[in-house]
Amino acid sequence: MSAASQNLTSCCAGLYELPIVEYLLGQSFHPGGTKLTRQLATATLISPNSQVLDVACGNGTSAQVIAADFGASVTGCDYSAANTERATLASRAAGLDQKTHFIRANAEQLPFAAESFDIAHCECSLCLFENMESALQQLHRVLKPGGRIGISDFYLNEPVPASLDGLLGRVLCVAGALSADGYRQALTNAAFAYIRIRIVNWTLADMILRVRQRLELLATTNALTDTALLTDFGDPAPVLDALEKFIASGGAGYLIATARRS
Amino acid sequence: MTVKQRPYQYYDSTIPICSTCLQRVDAKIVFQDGCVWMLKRCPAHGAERVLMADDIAYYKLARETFIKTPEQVIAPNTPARYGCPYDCGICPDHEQHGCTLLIEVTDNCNLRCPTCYAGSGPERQTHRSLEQIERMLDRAVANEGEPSIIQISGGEPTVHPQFFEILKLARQRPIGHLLVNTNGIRIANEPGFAERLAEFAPGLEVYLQFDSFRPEVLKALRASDLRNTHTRAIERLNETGIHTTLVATIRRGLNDDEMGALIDYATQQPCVRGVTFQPVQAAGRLEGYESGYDRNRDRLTLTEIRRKILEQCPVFAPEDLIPVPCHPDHLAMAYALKLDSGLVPLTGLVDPEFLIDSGRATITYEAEPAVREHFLNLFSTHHSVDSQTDAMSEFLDKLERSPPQQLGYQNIFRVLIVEFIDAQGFDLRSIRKTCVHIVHPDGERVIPFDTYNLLYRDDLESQVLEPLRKREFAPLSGPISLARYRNSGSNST
Repeated sequence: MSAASQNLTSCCAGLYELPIVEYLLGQSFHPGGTKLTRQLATATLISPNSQVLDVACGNGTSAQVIAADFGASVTGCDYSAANTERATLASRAAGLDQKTHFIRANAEQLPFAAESFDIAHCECSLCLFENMESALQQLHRVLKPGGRIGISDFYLNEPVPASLDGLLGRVLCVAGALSADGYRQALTNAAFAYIRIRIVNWTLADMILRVRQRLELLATTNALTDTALLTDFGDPAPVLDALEKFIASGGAGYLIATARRS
Repeated sequence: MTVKQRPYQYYDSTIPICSTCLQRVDAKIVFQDGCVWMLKRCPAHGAERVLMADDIAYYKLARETFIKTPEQVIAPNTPARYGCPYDCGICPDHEQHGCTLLIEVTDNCNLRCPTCYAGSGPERQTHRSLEQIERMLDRAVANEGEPSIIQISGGEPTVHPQFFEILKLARQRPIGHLLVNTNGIRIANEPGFAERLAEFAPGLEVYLQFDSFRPEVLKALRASDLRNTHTRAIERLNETGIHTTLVATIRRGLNDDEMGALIDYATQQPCVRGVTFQPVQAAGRLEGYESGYDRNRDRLTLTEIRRKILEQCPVFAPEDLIPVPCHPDHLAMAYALKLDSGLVPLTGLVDPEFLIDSGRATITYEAEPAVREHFLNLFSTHHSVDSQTDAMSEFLDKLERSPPQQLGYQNIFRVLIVEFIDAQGFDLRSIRKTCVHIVHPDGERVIPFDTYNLLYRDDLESQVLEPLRKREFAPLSGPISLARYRNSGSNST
């Protein structure tokens, strides 16, 4: 992929570590939060006996949910060492360190033996990988035969309008997304079968509402001291408006996809 | 200072029965390690920890989302006097009418299966008289008005010397659908038998015992290698076009890996409309287990069966196999179109895959009252498969999607899981919703299948139930949550 997309990956990973991003987007960065994580885990049939890989696990919130609510054993990996460190500490604090395990790893070079996992989740991160194709091949490799993959991500059926081509748009990682059919094709190409796509645009509505509410709170309380950071974002309100309009028109949305390793 | 915490999430309290003495006791429903457990404590027999489900999300979905106003029998038959489950008959506190009513016409059977909830066999010679069977049929009609489904059962009903007279008697009454619950031996072996059965179609369906393709499994469950019987019976049923459902009794570690293969086979048989999976109910005869039936080792729950079906049959996704609102935590169902190209699951159609194609705004079917209503209509078990064609077409029309070809009865395929409740998993909340009932041979009472096999069948009523009705309650022996549990369930940690 291009140098521009490589930039995007590092800039996105960097942004996710900023406190302001956590403030705006909440503990679980992806749209739908832990509610969507549970929906995805239900769709991939995670059970108490499952060995689960969570790729780009962030601060480990999803891994904790899967370990606590589904009783599964979860290995989380993330490109950011700060994230895996936080995930490890949080899991220990929640008493889930027996069931969760975090390591720093690149999704395109997963450090696991072939056929190690029953289920692999990739939440709101596939479109961030430099090379989605090799990431999917890696996931195929580490899954057992019959194993299941669960993806949540943005889909983009039309080009991103100029009004969304700003930093906030990138934080929401709209820029690298495929179309719904594109995900189907990518999974097929990586030898996954029984593909199911489910549209979950409620997650975006929830997320936009929350960002709006928090920005409003920031504005009224003057709590934001680092004004330079806000300047980086530009004025977020028009971007949110444009995003909502774009989603409503069918240009983009959020989906979960599940498939089975053949 | 650290705050002391339970090792579980507390969800509910309920009334169970002690697995040993069948006395009503006290219980909590808790979530731990991804599973739903019932913690109960009998003052006399101590505490038990029973696996209820290995899927918390599905358990909650069944209990919290699939709620339907209970439909009632015309009039109850017994008073509420000793408390549930000691008043069955139907008592006024039951919360669902009988979607399916069983009439057991004989105790005799041409097999002696090591697993038989009814304890039937060749040594039992009692065939009920036609007069008694008429009284039982009349009871069914009195309770239900127009019973949707009557299942002629036993024993093996086809060995009754007046079997076809029984079918005629049933036909003279306002009964929607007749099911014949059979091991298929007479259909397979007796020339002309299937043809005589076919005279009662449409409206007659065969509920064919069909547990496995493996001789060792059939020997363990049926004490007989029934493979040839199965093959010949299915041939006869295909020839005569009698609508057939395969019924598989599923025993943990024995044939719970064959459900996908059974579904595949069923889709290739023109006569077969679906497969029903029933985990072994710990009741009646339970032989052939190594060192006896062990409730800690051998119980199998609905969510485990559901998960295994979904693993073995990848054409179905989890949203395709969902609770049935009559008795949501013990019945699960998937509908599919059976086409030459294979199965097309329908239950999950309302989910967004459809919406991608049509480009409409996101809905979930639970959020859409019209779709939801159609689903509830579609998903009551008192639609026999015949009457489902309309519901299905209606449903498809509702989704503005035409069926792929002329949609007919032959295209509808149903996967059903029926988990009958045994003493271990007895939950009073749930037992009140049971909708598969047995007409008592006395012709006076109609009793839930689950409690009939625990407390009312044959001598159980005088030997087990009567002492329970007279027993005085012993004092509690301590808090449930601090008791030391006897585990029950394979996922115990």
